Amino acid sequence: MKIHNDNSLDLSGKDGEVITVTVARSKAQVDLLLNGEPFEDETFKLDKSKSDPFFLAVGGVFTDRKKGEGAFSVSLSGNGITATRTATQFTPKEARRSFVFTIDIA
Amino acid sequence: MKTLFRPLCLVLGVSLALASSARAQSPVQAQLEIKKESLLAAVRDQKTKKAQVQAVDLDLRAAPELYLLSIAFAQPRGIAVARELAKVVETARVDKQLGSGSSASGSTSVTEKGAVPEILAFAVENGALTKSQSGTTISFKGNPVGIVNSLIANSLPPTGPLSRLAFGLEFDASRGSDESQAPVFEGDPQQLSAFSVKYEILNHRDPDSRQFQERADRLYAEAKSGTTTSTRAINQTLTLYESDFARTMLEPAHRAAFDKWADAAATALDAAPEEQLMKVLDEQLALLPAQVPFTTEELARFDKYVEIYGRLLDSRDALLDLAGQGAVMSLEYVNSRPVDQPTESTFKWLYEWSALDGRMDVTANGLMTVLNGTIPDGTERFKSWAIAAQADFPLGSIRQGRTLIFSLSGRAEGTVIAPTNDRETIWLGQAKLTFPVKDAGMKLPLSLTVASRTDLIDETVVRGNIGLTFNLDSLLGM
Repeated sequence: MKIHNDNSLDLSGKDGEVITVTVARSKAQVDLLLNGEPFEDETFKLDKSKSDPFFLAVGGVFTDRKKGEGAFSVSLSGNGITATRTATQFTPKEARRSFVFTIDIA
Repeated sequence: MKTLFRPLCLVLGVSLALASSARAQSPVQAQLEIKKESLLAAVRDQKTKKAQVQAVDLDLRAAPELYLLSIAFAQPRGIAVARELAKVVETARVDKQLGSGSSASGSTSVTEKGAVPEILAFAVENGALTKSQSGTTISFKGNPVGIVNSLIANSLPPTGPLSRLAFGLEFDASRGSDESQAPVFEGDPQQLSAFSVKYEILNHRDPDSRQFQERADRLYAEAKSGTTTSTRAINQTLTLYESDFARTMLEPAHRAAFDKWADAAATALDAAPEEQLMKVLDEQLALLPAQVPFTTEELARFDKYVEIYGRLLDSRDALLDLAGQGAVMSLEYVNSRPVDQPTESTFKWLYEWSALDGRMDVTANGLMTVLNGTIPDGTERFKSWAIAAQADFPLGSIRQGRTLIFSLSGRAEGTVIAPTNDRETIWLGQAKLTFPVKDAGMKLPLSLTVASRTDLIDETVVRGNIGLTFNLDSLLGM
């Protein structure tokens, strides 16, 4: 896996490469969709015949509306490289945050 | 005491001014504003580092909500967007005791709530429940840590043991006035009828509590009723829209146009002075729908996205309301100052919990009162005891999210009746409707109370009471 433009959401990997997904959360609930389908596993394999690029969309709902201490982070690891994206609740009124990883397949 | 009242008014006035500066927005619009502020915080960070704002800082993958909502609200109004714009932000809670205590001369409350205000609550109530003489009580309940905190810009709600402490002052406006005159509140020492200190021992409604987060975890995947979907299902639908949006925008038809927009927007933000950043961002976001050739179908999906986002916010609110229905327990000490009588100390235990899957809030109180200081011979120091219970039923939204609350309560009070000094038990039953007042943190309690007797008259008494409570916490979104 490679990170492009110093942007942890802009990734690429080799066909067949296994990507490991790690989710950490505090006062938040997190859902992942891999290429539009709910994803609850710990790994997935890049497969050009299924999709190129791969889209891993992350939607987190903060469960702290008092102090705004909700946070979650998602890390993708492959071939010794780890790309991490963290969402920290901006204000107590922020209800949700989302971001999308794209992984181009070489 | 006048010197005490003036600082209170000052604090109330300053806090009101701070609160009123917030602009009323629909819930989804408010989320869009947060996304914009969040993006600008990153832009400011770049500028602080003397780094140039670049197109990559506006990456749509990092903030799909910002772009989806901006485009949706910038478009000619779809049904969902128009409906969303008609909404206002409002919350309804039933667990804070805003008015005076149950024994005050103008109280509308038979049972008292356990939670303490986080900043300041103010109430005016007229009538009486167990006393023959009615009056008008003006009460202030405040959280010292919260008041100081509210005056500090951008501060988060306070935490720690001191944040659970509240004070209370009650003034009987009918004191010092002729019976022929309307009661006038002067903040005079003789009008101070009671002061109190309250401490929240446990609060499972606090998002910081382990119990709250465990309930939130469990409720997230559960539907609230047979006709609704879970918060998780709605969040997954939103995430799917965002994934599809990223996919669409990265296709050649849209990507070149978006990249061109992002380059121009980054240049404009980089050149903008600090005070113009939000204006420039708004201008640039307004250009986006014109520069990217969205199809009619895509525009319809943006409108639908707003509708689903609104459902997510409603579902999250319901989830957090349910998660926040754990127990609250408080202890309170009240020092009462009756006219021409020894002062009294009342010790209260207040407990509140939720029942019927959150459709009913139940409160129980126990209290005892003793006379302070030197007392006349033949007078018992132990003056009275009371137990009380109340059930609150939110009746649903009456308009724009404001919730009407119906309450039923009962109370038994054992007290010494003058002049015979016999002990009697007074029974009370009360029905109360609490009307919320639009966007003001105010509530209007209207109650009808039946008492088996009063402290002076051995006859059944029926009384109507009306009050006005004001909770600064609501205005500040706490």
